[in-house]
Formats: sequence, C-alpha cells, structure tokens
Amino acid sequence: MADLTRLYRHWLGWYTRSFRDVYGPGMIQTFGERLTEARDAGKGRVVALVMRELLSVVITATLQRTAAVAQDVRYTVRSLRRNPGFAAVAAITLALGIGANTAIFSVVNGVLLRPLPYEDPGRLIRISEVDTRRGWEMGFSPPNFESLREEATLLEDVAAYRPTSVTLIGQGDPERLAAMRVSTRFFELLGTPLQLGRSFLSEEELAGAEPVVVLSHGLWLGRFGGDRDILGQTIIVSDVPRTVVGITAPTFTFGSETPEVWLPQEFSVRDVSLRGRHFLPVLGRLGPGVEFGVASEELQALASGLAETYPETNKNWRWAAVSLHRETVGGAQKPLLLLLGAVGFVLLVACANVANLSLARAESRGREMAVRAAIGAGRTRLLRQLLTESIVLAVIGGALGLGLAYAGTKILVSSIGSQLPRAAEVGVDWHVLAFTTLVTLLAGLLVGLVPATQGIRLDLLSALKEGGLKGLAEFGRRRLRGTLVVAEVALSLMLVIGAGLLLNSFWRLVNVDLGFSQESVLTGRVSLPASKYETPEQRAAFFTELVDAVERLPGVESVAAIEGLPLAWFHGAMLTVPGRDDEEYLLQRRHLTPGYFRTMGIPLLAGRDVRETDQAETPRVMVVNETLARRIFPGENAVGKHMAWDGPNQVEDLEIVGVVGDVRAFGLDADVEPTIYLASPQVQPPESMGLVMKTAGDPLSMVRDVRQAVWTLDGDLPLYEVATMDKLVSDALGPKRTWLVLLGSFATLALLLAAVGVYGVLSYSVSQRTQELGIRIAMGARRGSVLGLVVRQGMTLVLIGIVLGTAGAVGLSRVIAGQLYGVSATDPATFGAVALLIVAVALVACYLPARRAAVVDPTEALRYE
Amino acid sequence: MSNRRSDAEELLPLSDLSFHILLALGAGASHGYAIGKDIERRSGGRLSPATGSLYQALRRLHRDGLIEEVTRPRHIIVDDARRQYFRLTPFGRRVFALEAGRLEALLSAARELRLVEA
Repeated sequence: MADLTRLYRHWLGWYTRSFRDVYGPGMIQTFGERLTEARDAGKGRVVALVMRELLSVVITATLQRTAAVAQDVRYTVRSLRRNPGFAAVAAITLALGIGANTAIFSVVNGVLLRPLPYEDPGRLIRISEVDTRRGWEMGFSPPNFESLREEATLLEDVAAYRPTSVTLIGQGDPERLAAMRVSTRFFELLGTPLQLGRSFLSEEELAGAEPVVVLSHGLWLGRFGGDRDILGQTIIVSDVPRTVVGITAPTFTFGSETPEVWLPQEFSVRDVSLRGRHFLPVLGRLGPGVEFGVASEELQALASGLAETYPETNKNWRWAAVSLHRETVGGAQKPLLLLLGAVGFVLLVACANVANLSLARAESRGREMAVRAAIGAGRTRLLRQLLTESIVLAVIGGALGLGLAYAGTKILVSSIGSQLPRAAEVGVDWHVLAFTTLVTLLAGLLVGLVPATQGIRLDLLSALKEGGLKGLAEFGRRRLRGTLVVAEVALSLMLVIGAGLLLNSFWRLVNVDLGFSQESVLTGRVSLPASKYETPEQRAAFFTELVDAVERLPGVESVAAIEGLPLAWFHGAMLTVPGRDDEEYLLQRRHLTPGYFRTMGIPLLAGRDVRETDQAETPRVMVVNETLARRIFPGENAVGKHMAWDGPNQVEDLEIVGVVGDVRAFGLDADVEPTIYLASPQVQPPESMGLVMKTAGDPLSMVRDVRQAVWTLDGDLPLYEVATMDKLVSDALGPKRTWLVLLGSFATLALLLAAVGVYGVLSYSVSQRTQELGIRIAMGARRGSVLGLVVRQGMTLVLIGIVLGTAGAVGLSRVIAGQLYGVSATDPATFGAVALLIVAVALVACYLPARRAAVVDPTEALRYE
Repeated sequence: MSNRRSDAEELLPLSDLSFHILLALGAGASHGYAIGKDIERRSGGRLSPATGSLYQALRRLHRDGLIEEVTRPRHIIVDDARRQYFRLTPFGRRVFALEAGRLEALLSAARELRLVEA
C-alpha cells in the first residue's frame, strides 16, 4: 500500500512544480483513499485503478507541460514584438544559415543519400574490364560479356547497355535523340516494369532479328500523343523500320542523359568473335543475400579462367565491380560534402552572430531578469525563458530558411542540373524537413546556451542597483563576446580561403592554352544510318561532299569534319612501332578530313596535313600530335616513321606524314594524351562526324545555311549538337564555375556576417564605454588616439581569428585539394590575399564604431547614466 | 478575479465534469475523494474521473475563481490533516446559476416542442 502511494508520489513529478506544490498532497490523499477502497474489492480492482490513474497522470501532465511551453512561447513572442529590430535581424541571419544548409542538404539527399530509383538498388553493381597494365577501366567485349552472363553464379542477372543516339524521321523535321542499346534482361535486372508492352527478347540480340524498339514514356507522350495503338506499329529509327514493342514507366531513366529510345543490343557474328574489343558497359544484380565481396571474388576467378583459356586477348585483364550507386554519384560526392561543410560553417558564423546579439540583449535586460529572479522566478525558469527565446528565433529563421531553400534548390537544380547526377530527384522531402528541424533546434540551442550560461550567472544585487547586468560577470561576458568574434573570423577566413583557392584554379583553367582557337568556330554533327550508307566508300564520299558544300557557303572561311571534337569523346587505339615488338601504345584516335588543323588554328609543326588524295586505295597516312612524337620518337623526326594498328579489319601500316601542336582534347584540366589523326576515307570511315566551320561573322547566323546544305544532300539527316566552339569551351568549365560560384557565395555570406559581428561587438563596447572614452577625451586624449584604441581592440580579435583560421585552413587543405588545378591547397599567395581581404573588411567594421567613439562629446558622456 | 457578469458568461458552457464538481460542492466544502464519489454516484457511474483528470478540472475551476481552497471546515472533526478542501466562491455560484439557467432554457424549449415530457 505504502509502496503504491510512493509510486504515485513519484509519478506526480511529471507535473509542473507549481501544480504539484498546490495539488500534490490532495491528489496523493485522494489516490490513497481510492486505493484502500479498491483493495477491499479485490486484487483486480487495484490493478485496474493503478493503470487508470497512471494513464490519467501521463495525459494531464503532458497537457500541462505543453501549456507551460506555450506560455513561454507567448511571453517570448510578446517580448520579441517589443524589439522587432532585434527579432528581424536575428531571424534573418539564422534564416540565411539554415536556408543554405537546407538547400545543400536537399541536393545531398537527392543525389547521394536517396537510394537509386530501382528495385532493391543495393544489389545493383556495375562491372568493367580492367587493363591491369595501364589501370584502365573499360567496357566488356561481347564474347567476355557472354562468358560472364553464362558463368557468374552469384549474380542474379547481368545486362549490357551502351549509350548512343538515333535519328527519328516522320512527323516533322528529323530529330536526333539520346538512345540506349541494351541487352535482354536489362529492364528486368533494374526491376522496373514497362508501362506498356514488353521488353527485349533474347533472340532480338542476334543480328538479323526482327528490328524492335522501346520508347520512353516522355517521347511516347510528346511525339506520339500517348497513343496506346503505337504498340505493334512501325517507326523509322535511324533509317531502320522498327516495330514498337514497349513504353517505359513514366519516371524510368538510366544513365546521365535520359534515353528517349531503347534498342536491343545486337551482336554481329564479328562482335561475338572479338574478345579484344572492349565497348560494353555491364550491369549486374547480386543474388539475394550475396555479399558484394564474395561476388567480386567470383568475378575475379572467372576473369582469371578466361585469361588462361584466351591468353591472346584476356591476359592482363581482370574484372572489377563497383556498386551502381557509387558509380552513379561517386564523382559528385566530394564537392557536395565540401559544400555541406561550407554551409555548416556559414551556420556557425550566423549562430555566433545571433548569440552575440542575444548576449547584448540579455545584458540590457539585466534589470528585467533581476526583477523576475527577485520575485521568485527560479533559475531554471529564467534559463528556460532564454532558451525559449532563442529557439523561437531559430524556428522563425528555420521557417524562413525553408522558404529560401525551396526557392534556392529550384534555382540550383536549374542552373547546375546538367552537371549533377540524379538532379531531377532533388527536392524537399521528409528527410530534408527532418534535417531542417534538427539544424533549427541545434541552432536554437547553440544561440540560446551562450547568453543563458551568462545571463543566469547574474548578480542580483548589482543588477538591481545599477540597472544593468554588470559587476562580477562583466569580465567573463566580454571574453565570451571576444571568443565569438574570433570564431566568426576564423570560420569565415577558412571559407574565403577555400573560395580563393577555387577562384585561383579557375583562373588558371580559363587561361589554359587549349592548343586551338575557338573564335568564330561553329560545330555540329551529322550521323549516317548504316542501312542507307552501307559501304565505307559511301560514308567517306558523303562527308567529302558535305564539306565541299559547306565550304561553298558564303560566310564560311574554312570547314572540315572530325570524328570526335575536342573536349568531347574520342576513340582509343593500340599501336605498335615496327621493331619494338614488346611495346604497345594506347593512343587517342580521330578521323578527319583535310583542313581541320587550319580551321581550328592548330599549328602544323612538321610535314603535311592529310590530303584529298589520301584515299582508301592509297597508302595509309596519319598526322600525330607533338606529345606522341616526343614520347614515342624522342629525339627523332617522327615524320616518315611507321606504326602498326590492329584495326577493325586487319593490321594497318600507318605512316606519319605530319606533326601538329597539342590540343587539350579531353578536358581543360586533363593532360594531353598522344593522339593520331587519320584520313577519314582510309581505315573504316566513321558513320558520324562533327563539322567545324570557321565563319566570317557570327557563327550561329550560319546554322540555317549549314542545315540546308545537309538536307540538300539527304533530307532525312538532322544536323545536331550545334554549338559554337566558344560554348563548348565554356561548358567544359561549367562544373568548376558552379562549385566556385556556390562556395564563393557562401564564403561571401560568412564574411559579411563576420564583419557584422565585429561591428556589433565594437559598437556595443563603445556604447558601454562612452563614459570612459568621454573622460579620456576630457583629460586631453586626442581623438586619433581614441579612434586607435577602439580599432586596436577590434583588430586584436580579428588577428587572433586570422591566425586560428589559417591554421584551420591548413588542416583542412586535404579536403579541397582534389578540386584544385595548378594551385596547391596551401598556396601562400591565396592565403596572404585572403588574410589581407579579411583585414580590410574588418578595418571598415572597426572604423565605423571607432569614429563614433572619437566624436564622443565629453560633457554628454559624463552626464550619461 | 473579476465578478462581472460578462466574465461569468465567458466561462459558459461548463464542461460536464466541471458542472458536476460545482454540483458536488453545492452542499458545502469537500475534498477530492468525496467529490469523486459524489460525481460517480450522481452520474450513475457514467462519470468517474481518475485523480489526475479530477485535479486538472479542479485546478481550472480554482484558477478561474469558481472555487477556492479552504482550511479544514469547522464542522468536520475527525479528518486526515493532508486533506485538501475546496468550496464554491460567490462567483462560482453565479456561474453555476447561469449554466443551470442556460440548461433550463434549453430544457423548456424542448418541452414546448414536446420533445420531452413536462
């Protein structure tokens, strides 16, 4: 009995103290009497009573607590209303910090954290073949893929995919669309059923099978009006009539470009025989419960087995698997986490600022606090009040921040979406909301605890006497404000250094010598359907004719065709030098027509360009770049040398007829690779070539004429990927520019907040020291020395911050090193420049309050208080 | 606490439990256990508030000035010292009367329509 009553007394602890103090004894008494009554009625009644009473206490206590919090919140809102300036500045500052965090987190969430939009995506892997001699990761050769498909027991499914593009004709102008060739089981492997129809059958992989096609949901709606009867109809895809057999699910996509057209990956007889041609990216799905590591081992074993069976082609090749998630988003991980860290810093600076403001407010409210304490408000009650205030501010800031983030994320995705994997999946979901709530509460606690720890240490007597929160705690508080300012400066310095380093490397990239002149150059691409242009001669003839036709256009100064434009893709080729049998060189290979180097302003260093007379039946020639000449024929004249290429049809003997300057062909920050340029009519003329045109006027004004020239030769061919070379170069800088702009904005924000912080602390200090400064001036101190006094006070803090921030930046240098080009992560010039910038900004922030101090009127100041 | 009529009207309608508590206190000062018993008896067992709910309601009535705490009433001689007694305030009586009047008016309207027997 006594035990149960004691238990009840214990439960009463859940009520607010004010309630407990007044009603607790009565409740215990009532409970006791009811217990006695229940005991007489039997054990069952006692249990029922206790359960009922417990439930009642829990419910009513919770209601009370909620009401108490609501009361605190109401009080806080009233008090903030009386001081709207403070409330607005604090809430907006926090909104900027929380908003930046929410925006970046929603990107991180959509890109990195969310599982891929496929069935059980954790089991999806991407498999490639690795050339162990060079460490190059490449696709599978068709026979190796076949071996993998047949022999891998731990993989539930295996499928190959290959991005390509196709031309669609009929219904308006011919259109070039992103497409994907996929093996059978591809859709099944990803576990995404088609919206309509069926996926590809295994017999459709064989060359000569009935041609079929699956359309994307978007294309089906857009170009075919969402007509269900499209199934079974025939459409012309790259000149081949294909039967539509399926429509993908509405949101289904795969790869970086959303494919509009899905074709079966067909394997010709020749494909199946060539184990050495690596061009098929491969997907796998781990069997249920199979560990990634175990599956990797099996792949390793299979690859070694093949290497023994087919040493000619498979020696020195192994198979490597990586999770599809990592494969998809791996590249974005580091920059995104870097940005998340950066906005974290911004939030810390914002919190420090608001904490400083709150501190000043707590001090000016010292008398109010003291009075409340004197009339019996408990210490915890005051603490709660202060925390409530900061959390209310943070919640207002969080709500504003969420709005900022919502808008910001939209802008972010529309501006950098093309440089980000899975950009379409970025949005505000409940993960983001949970994150924002957490960040908001943390910010509220952080901001509230600082003034709370100080506000609570109030010295009642002196506060009541002096009308402010002065006296004993004064020294501690001043040190606290100083610490906050130092932290702000240090944090923002680190961010600005990060942005500075990115700016520095961006500057270097912009000024990289590309090796060609992009001025007034228009580019575009034409692809020939194999069905209509069957023979190499037809393809070569078409491009020769096209170049001639475009050359005749008024306004075109020169024109040429090349298989892979600079800054885009390229083919590789393994070449040997006769007489050096053990050495094989992997080179970039590009087919072109005469005049390319002239059009692009690439200097011919030795020998000659390819000529119109270099035809299929004449000896094979090639032009090489300087890097190749230097690397493979050091100290010799490369012109006249021969190299052998195990080409698509036979081993070709190629004579070097010219050497040209290096071109940054594979990206602005990539090293120049040895490259060969082949005369397009020789050795398997490509089906698809890019046109480069040097124009007299605005390149884009020529687009219509060039397109017309293409259509004069073949009305079914689209001219696509039309862009100026200027744009291609600028696009290549896109991702770097984006990271720079983002980090730069956050750094600027942090710097401004820190400057406001320095300004605020000094302003406050000056207003507190008016009397002292007045006396100094009255005693004959020159205004200049008063100015110096205040500036010195501020700059001391700033310099400490700079020292600490520099140390921090050196410590964090590894984090950013991977994003830099041509500049070290501890570049002294950048560090120095940033420190100077901070000093300059801080000087302004110090000067304004210092000037006010210097013009203090001594008579006014002495009358003060 | 103000005793103006408008203040009293603001508290209407009373909750079922509040009305019953005031009714229980109509006979004079009483304590939690007895109030609970009274309510249970008068409502025929329909209302049987647990201690927490009962005191939550008592506090609201207390805060609104309808009831007040009293030191042990003189006429009760044998009692436990820990018992906490409440009684109606004049304001509480007025609120109760207003509420009763409101219910009365509703009831007579129902009678006129012969929805209930007179």
